[in-house]
Amino acid sequence: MIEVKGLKKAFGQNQVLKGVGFHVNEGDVMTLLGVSGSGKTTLIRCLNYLESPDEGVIRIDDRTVDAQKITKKEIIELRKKTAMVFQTYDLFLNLNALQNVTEGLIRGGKIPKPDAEDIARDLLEKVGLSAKLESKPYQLSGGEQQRVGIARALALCPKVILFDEPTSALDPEVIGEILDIIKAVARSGVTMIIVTHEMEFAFSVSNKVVFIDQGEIVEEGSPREVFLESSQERTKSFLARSNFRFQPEYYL
Amino acid sequence: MSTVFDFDFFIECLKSGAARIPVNLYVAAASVFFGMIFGLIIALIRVFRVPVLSPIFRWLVTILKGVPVILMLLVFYVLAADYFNLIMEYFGIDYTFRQLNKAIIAIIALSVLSSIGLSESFRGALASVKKGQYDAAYSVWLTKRQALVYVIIPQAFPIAVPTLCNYIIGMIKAGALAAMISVVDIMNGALIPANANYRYLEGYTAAALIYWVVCATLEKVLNIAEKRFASKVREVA
Repeated sequence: MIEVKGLKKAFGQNQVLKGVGFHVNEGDVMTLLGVSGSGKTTLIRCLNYLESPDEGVIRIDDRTVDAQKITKKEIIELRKKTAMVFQTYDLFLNLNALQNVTEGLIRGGKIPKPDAEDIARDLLEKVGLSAKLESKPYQLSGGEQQRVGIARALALCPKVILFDEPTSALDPEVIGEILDIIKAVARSGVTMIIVTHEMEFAFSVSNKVVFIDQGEIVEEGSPREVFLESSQERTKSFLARSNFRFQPEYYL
Repeated sequence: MSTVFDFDFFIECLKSGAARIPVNLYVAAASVFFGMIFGLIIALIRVFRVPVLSPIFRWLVTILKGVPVILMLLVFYVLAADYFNLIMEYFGIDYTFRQLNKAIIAIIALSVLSSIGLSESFRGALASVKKGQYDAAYSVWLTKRQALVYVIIPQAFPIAVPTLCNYIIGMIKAGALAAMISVVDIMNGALIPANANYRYLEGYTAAALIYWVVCATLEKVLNIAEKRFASKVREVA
């Protein structure tokens, strides 16, 4: 359902993506792993054109765009296939929790305000925030803000949700809660691409893992293939440095 | 000239000047209003580095920032004196420079200055909005225009409010300079009785008192507005 071919992006002299390609099927949960600066955040930001790639073709659902001849209209249409959850939450600071969720629905999705509010209330209840609909972001904790962020992305019913290190700015004790919410979303069958440093989470939530290093895909496969049976030196040394400990879910 | 300060005459000047308060208020209000509109446009052009226009405005702002208010007023007055009749004739309108309300010239000159000044403070306010807010807006399918109208400007505006309030007071006082181009404002109003008998001390004191009262009252009102927006600043800080 998502197909990326030959994606290249440079910031000045720094070639961040050197021709990346992969595909994701409907309902897949793909995690992107790699050290900081490897290009994984740039990669998912290219998918909804928050960053404009220099070259490459992106197909999401029935919408195909070529980076070299994309128009403003195509960018908006591509974005309408996606939603994003940010590392720093990036809630609209001037709006309360409910409005944060409805804003995109009303303005971008052209959904009537009462319907948008129903959707938003429903989703905020699901992420456990029904008591804080009127709270502004500065009145919410980091974990609560990220719950709103997830609800905001879900509300759009996108073809794919992009998670950009959704727990990296959170306290250790709330990381688990957010990961549980993301897992629940994954189980509901939404296609997701997740950039994360949480190895155990990546192992358990995804059915496809992509390891990226220095702007190139080094390895891709099932979590088991990448985490446990990797033959690539770079993957192995990355996993050795991360604190991943394989814990089987059952013992014989 | 019997007494140093003729109090009854002072009251007379006070009345004559106070009758002109509306002139200063509408000149200031109009200048700030146009200043806000054009200031915002200039600020947006410069923040988003619109090709061609952005460098033009950068130079224009730098040049015009260094022009004294009085000079700006006089230049516009002289320009109008020279060309207004010609332009009206060209379009076949029966309206001469003598009939022209000189307050309009003051409003144009002061609008240019406040556009320049406010564009700088709006630019600072816009730059203070975090980049993630744009990303978030685009990620929920807003267009650039929608992002500006519903997310960015509502966050930037409260930050510019204190400077804006300062500007309103400044424009009231700049109105006194409009007296130079024969706008009958508080200053000229208070001097009308004095022109007859040369008791200028009373005239100037009356004008000063009126200005002070107007500005102090306005400041009180603006403080309320500032307080209201201060809570908005806390949201985005």
